[in-house]
Amino acid sequence: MIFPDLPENQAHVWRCDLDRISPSEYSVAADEHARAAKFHFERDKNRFLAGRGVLRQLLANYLNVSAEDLKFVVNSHGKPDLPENLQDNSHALRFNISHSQNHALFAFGFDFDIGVDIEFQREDFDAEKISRLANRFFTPNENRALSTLESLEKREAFFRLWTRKEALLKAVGTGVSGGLSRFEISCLSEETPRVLAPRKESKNWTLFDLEVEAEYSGALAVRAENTTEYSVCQFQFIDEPRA
Amino acid sequence: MNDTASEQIPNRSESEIIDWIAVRVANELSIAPGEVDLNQDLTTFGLDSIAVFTLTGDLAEWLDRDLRATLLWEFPTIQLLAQHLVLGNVQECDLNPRSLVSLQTGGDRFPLFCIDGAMRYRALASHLPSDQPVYGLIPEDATDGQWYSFDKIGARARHYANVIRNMQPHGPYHVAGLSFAGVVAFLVAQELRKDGEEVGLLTFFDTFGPGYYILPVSKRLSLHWRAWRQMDTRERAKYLAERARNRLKIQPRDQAKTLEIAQPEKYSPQLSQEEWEDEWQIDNLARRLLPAEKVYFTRMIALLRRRPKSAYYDGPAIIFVAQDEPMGFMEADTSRGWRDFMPKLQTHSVPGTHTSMIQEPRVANVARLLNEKLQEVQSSPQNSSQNS
Repeated sequence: MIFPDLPENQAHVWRCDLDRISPSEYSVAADEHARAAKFHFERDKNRFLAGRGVLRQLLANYLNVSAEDLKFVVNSHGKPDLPENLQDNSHALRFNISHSQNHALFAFGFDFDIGVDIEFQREDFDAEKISRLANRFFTPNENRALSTLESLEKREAFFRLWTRKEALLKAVGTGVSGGLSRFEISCLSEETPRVLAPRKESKNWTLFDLEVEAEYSGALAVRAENTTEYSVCQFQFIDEPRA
Repeated sequence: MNDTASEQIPNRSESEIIDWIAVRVANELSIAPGEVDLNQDLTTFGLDSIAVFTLTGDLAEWLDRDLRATLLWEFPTIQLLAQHLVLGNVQECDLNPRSLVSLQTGGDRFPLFCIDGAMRYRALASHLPSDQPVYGLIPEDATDGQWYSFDKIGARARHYANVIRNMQPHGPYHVAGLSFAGVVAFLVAQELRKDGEEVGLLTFFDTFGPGYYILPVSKRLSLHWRAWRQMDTRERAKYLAERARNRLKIQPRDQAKTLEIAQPEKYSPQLSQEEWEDEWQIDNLARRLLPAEKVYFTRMIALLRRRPKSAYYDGPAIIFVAQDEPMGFMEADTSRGWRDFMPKLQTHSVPGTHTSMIQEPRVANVARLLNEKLQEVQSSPQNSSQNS
C-alpha cells in the first residue's frame, strides 16, 4: 500500500468495514485482548479487536514505527492518545476512532485536537421519538431547528447533529459524558456545520460532515488554531495485514 | 431539573427499575432479559452512545422524572443505576452530578473513594487491580469559593459522605485522601461512622495530622542544612527557588484571604471537566498551604484537637509518608502526627515527594501496598462490635 502524506493543516479519515478484518492478522496488545474479553457478544469483541488492529496499523504507518510497539495513554474520560515519547519532537500525531455496527472511522491529524463519530441512522428513530429526545436533552435552539422538519429529513438532521456533537465532544476530550448541551451546533442541511454557541468557541472548532455508507452519518471536529484553513481527505482501508 | 425531581418522586422500587432496564436492554440486543448481567458495564454489550442516550430518555419518561443525559455514563451498570435512582430520590437535588468521577469501574470489591480530586488519583487507580472500583470526589461547587474554607470543611465532609452513600448505600467504605484531602477523608470517615456505617480503610497520602508541630527556628535551620548537604546543584537551585517562593507568596492569614486563593480565577459553566476539576486549585493551594504552616496548623489542627481523643478514629488506617519531601520545618514522625490518634494506623515510608509519590513511576509500589491492605481489610471483619 502506498501511504498518503499527512500535511499539517489536513486531517485524514479512514473508513473501514470491521467485519471484513480478521483481527488475528493484526497486532493487538494484551490489555486490548483483556478489554475485548469483557464484551458480551463475540461480534463486539471481534469488532473491538479489529478496530484496535487497524488503528495500530495506520498509526504505525504514519509514525513509521512497528504496530506492536505502540502504547496508548487514556485521559480521565477514556479517550486514547499516544504517549509523548513515541512522538517526533516537533509534531504530535493525534487520532480518534469511532464505530457504529460494523463501520468504523479512523481520524488523524498533526498537532490539533481531533474527534470523529459515525452513527447508523436507526430506523426506530421516528419523528416522534426524536422530538421527545431533543426536547429533553438538546438546547432550545437545536430543538427548535429540528422541530421544523418532518420524518426522514428530521431523522437525517438528528443524526447529523448527533455526530457533529459527539465528534466535537470527543475532540474536546470528554466524549458525550462531558454534557450534550455544552455546545450548540447547526443541524439543518442548508447550514454549514459549525458551533453556534458558546459564540467564543465557534471560531475554535472546524466541523466537517464525512462521506460514509448509506444510512450512516459521520462527522469530524478539529480544533482550529488561529485562522488556518483545514481540509479533510478520506480513504478506504482495505484489509492488508502485515507480511 | 430539580423542580420536577422534587415535585414528583416516582414510586418505583429498585427491582422494578432493574427489571424495566434489563428488559429494555434485552430487547435492544435481541436476547433474553435473564442474559443481561446487572453488574456488567452496559458498553460491554456493545451499546453505543446513542443507544445509551435513548435508554436514558425512555427511562426518564417511564419514571416521569428529569434525568441527566449523562446519567448512564456516571452509573454504567444496571445495578448501580437502579440503586442510584432509588436512593437518589431524596438526595438528587443536593448532589452535583459532577461530584463523583469514576476512575475504574467493574469488579465487586467495595470501591475506593478518593477525596478532592480525580485526575490526581488516576495513576493510582490504574495500578490497582481491575476489579477494584475507584472513584474521585470533586468539590461540589467551585463558584462560591468556599470549598476550602475551614469553617465549611465539616459540611463538605458531610456532603461527600452523602455522595458516597448514594453510590454505595452501606459500608464498609474505603476513603482516601492526598495531603490535605486526607484530613477531609478523615472527617468523611467520621461522618460515615456517625451514620452507623463501617469504615473499611482510611488511607492518607502524606497527610499531616494533629500530632504534628512546627520545630523551633534553630532546629529547622539544622534540618534545612542537613537536607541541603545531600542535594546536588540542580536540586539546591530548586530548593532555594521553592523556599523563596514560599516566603514571597502572600500567606493566607485569615478567612477572607483563604477564600480568595481558593477561588478559581475564571469560572464558566462551560469549562471542561479537566478545567473545572480542582486540579490546579488544590495543587496551588497545597503548595501555598503546606508551607503556610500557620494556617494549616493553627486552624485545621486546632479544629481536630478540639475533639476529644476518644472521638478519633480507631478503625483500620494506612498512611504513606513521602520519603523525599524536605519537610525541614517539622518534626520527623513516620506517622505524620497521627499515631496517637489512630491506634490501628499502619505506616509506610515510600519514595517520592509529597505529590510525586502517587504519580508514575512511584505510584506502582504505593498501589501494591494499598491493595494488600485493602484485601486484608476486606477479608477480615473489622469492628470487634460486629464480630458477635
